[in-house]
Amino acid sequence: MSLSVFQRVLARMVADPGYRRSIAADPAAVLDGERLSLRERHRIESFSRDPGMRVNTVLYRANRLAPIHNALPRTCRALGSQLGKVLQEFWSSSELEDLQFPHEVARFVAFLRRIASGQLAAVRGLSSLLDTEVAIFELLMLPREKLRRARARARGASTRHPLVRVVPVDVHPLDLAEVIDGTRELDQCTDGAGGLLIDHREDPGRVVALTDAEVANFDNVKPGPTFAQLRAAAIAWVQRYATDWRNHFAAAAPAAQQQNLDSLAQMPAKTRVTVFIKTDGYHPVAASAVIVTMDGTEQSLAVDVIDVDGPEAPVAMLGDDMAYEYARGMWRTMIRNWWPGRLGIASELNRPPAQRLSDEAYIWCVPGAISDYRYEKHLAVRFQPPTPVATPSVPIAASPSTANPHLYAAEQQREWLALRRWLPDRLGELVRAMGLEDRFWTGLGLNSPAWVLLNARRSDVFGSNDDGDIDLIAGPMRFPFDEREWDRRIRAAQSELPLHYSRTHAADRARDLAASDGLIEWPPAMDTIVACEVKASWFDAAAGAWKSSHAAKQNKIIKQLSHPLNAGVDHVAFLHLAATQPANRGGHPWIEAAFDAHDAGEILRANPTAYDIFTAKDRPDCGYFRAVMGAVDHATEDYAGAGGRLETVIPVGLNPNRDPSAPWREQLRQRLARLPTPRFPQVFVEACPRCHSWLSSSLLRGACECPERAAKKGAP
Amino acid sequence: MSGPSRISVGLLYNPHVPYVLERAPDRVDHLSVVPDILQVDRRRRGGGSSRPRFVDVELVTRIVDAAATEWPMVGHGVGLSIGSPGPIDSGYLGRMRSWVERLGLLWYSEHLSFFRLPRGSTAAHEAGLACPLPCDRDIMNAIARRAAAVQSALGVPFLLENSVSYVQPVDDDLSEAAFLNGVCTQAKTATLLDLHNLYVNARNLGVDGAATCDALVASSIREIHVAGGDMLLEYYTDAHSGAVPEEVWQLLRHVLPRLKNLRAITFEYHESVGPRLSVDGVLGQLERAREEVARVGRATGRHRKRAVKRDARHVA
Repeated sequence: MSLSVFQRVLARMVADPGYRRSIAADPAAVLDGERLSLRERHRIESFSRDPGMRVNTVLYRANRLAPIHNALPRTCRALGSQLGKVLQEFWSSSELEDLQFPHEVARFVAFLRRIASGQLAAVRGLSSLLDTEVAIFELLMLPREKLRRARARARGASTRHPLVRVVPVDVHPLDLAEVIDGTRELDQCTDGAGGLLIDHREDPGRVVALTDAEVANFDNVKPGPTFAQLRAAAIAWVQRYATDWRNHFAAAAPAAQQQNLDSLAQMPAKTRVTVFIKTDGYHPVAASAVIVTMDGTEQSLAVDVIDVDGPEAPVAMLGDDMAYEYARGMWRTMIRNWWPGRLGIASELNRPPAQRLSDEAYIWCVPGAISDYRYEKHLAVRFQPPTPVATPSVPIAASPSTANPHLYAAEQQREWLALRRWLPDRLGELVRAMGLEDRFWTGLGLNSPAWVLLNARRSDVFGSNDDGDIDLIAGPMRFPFDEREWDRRIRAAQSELPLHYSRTHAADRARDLAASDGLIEWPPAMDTIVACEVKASWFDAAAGAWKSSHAAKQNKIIKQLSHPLNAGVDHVAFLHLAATQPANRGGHPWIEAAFDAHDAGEILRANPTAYDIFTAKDRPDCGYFRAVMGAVDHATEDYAGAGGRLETVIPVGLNPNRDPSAPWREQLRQRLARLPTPRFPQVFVEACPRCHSWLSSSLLRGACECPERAAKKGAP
Repeated sequence: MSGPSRISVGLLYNPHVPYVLERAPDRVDHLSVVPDILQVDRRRRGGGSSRPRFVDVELVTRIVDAAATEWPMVGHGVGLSIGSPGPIDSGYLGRMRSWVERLGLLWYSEHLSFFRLPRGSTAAHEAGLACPLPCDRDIMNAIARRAAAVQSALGVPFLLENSVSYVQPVDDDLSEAAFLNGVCTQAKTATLLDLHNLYVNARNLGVDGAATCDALVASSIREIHVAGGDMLLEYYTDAHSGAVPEEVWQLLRHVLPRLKNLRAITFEYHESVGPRLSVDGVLGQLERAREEVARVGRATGRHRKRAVKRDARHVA
């Protein structure tokens, strides 16, 4: 029995230095009541004076602190200098019952909430932080795989997933999420309210900021419709849509009918519709994918609805079905960015992304249940008579499958079309390559603001006497703000966006808002001006060779480049835009186009002597860029993704004749000043080939309406 | 007549170890696992309950279960508290037996210490620290009886590890070596010789590490632990905080030639120092151990694994 007493006293001496000191000071007063043998008492007295006992005490405390710090690292950090005092109080108030770490953490949390509530209240956000870390810790300690398996079996359940927690918070939830992430200190949190969703349905878990309304929404989760009900609703929706589509089709003008037959929505033509439903555990349906397959023979409409997480999911969905894989990619994006109920702010995001997979298959992805998607407006817009496509004055042969020509068929207007198809999606790349990069914006993941002037007469830009034009001239646009003001604006924009949107989204929106408020500095500064000459070629797949490659026109092109160089433009480059012919080999048209662009580009790269217009030796003061666009069947080359990436053949350098004080800069500035202040961070200014007036817009719109304009106002 | 068996060189599992295993799976012969970190013991919180007493910590068991299919494993418990008076916790022992079967543990070791306190004697149930025991004959005899019972219950060899202490022993009957020898002889168990513990005691208490090694019955030593430590309050501690000090390697070199029954050398380090030590650093420690083994003409390599019983997952 005395060994028990000896061990108890020894353990208390380790845990409580005050007890140890009192034994050392007056052994009899403390130990006389203890049933110790003489030898044990002698040992205790000796230990009480041994300085090594202090090491034992520190190690004891480290052992008690370790589970707390492991489970609540941010809370410990946020307590800062108070942590020591809080721990001291905790250790004094509770003897160690056991070192089972969930228990020790629970005791500490209870202590913090009950005893140390003063410290919690004194640090803004600390209580929320503690709640969040406790929720994360509890989820980590659950039998997660078992719960996931059970949840998977409970198909269609719309109650909250057991591995999901929602924690209301009293500071800005996005800030607190960053604290959890370790990228922000608690005292840097701004005011706000809402909640944090702790989602451990999959590894690794994640923390998502929620608004107040979203927190309330989660708290009000009610049992939702069963899968059978969802299925019935989806089938009814598809059938109603098909009927409405047929009615619209029948009532539409022939031109609209033709355009629609050439579009994604060929649903009523014949077909099998498969609706894949993806649940996410806290919404009845997180996303739907509607895959429409047409075999050209079946006239009836067959609909199937499949729960991708359910046992009836086909084997093909395990990974080798392209349509499903594509849908899954879209789902991932949607579930991350487009939660149902979060769509009020950016309504344009509510459009279901659609993709043609092959000649016979199309896919739509819809956030939430397909039966919630309102298609009426979509149909009304789709069946309006098509707006005539603005085209240059020279007639262009149409491609077999579209009203717009592919570049290979564009002949005389090839450069004009190529630049307009390539530039809107690739201006950011060109701006970077040409040396107009503003690192503030690129650091935020955004393109640098720029203005671009297309096809202006050289006489209008440089005041020269010749009749030629310059294909592209560009410069930077700036705002009259410093970084502190941008930070304020970005945070303001962030407060209006769904909370999980990144800082890039917010910066993009802040910049758009500033631009739409007319705050771009205009006319722009002329400190850096760049210019490009553009040529276009096409790849003849049958011959395996590039056509209209301009290789024989080296002298002419070099001479064209000499104009901006001699004028003293800062950077000058040649841009070779190239395009393939559309292929229709029965596969995914975008993938085919991308492959073709790659292969055709390889031929260009492999034969520099045949295809390169000039070398660095020929024109050391000029850059040389190239982009090979893949032509997509049933669509033109202006779809980013199928090739088109800017490739540097010769990096652009500083023009040795650069002249920052050339008079034409001020003249160009004054000419641009006549245009309205841009409302977009990227502005295209186009010179009309007939009246030579300059018009600006945020998008390239094709030819301007200059005959009317010229008749009314005359040339500027 | 066959010669001494090969010596396996491995690691004590911590959350950094999977990075080592991923990089160099063939350079780790075995894993030593602390079963106590794989579970939460709910009964120790007090009060009876119909709930299962032990619950897996799935985050860890998922990894360790998977590792057990690849690497031979040994157990290294911290929760038995063999030095506590009173009956052995049969529920805990049963759970350890289930780990032996579930992970195919080749043997099971424990610390020669106490940390659990008798219920009812105090509000505290645990000392929070592995406290050293007085090396008295009566305690030795009691521990020998318990060790024999534990070995019988676990069904695999049971090893007791020499302890680390920061206070000078007072009026002990026996040296620690004599104490361990006595336990091994009576219980027919084996010894886990922690050379770093010896080194810590040498630095802080003036113990002669080499003499202690010499005094131990060489044939009883089945496993050796090596580790690194750190200074705290002018004491050198068994912090597992880095590379093995050269003095510990020298102790290993000193003791190895005698240890014909040695089966394993295990390097212990704390996960928090893993990134600083780096995977290469950890592998370097294992290579050094192999070099020391090679110096005495012994082979290194894996031992044959014991069968892993998956259905043991729900035992106890």
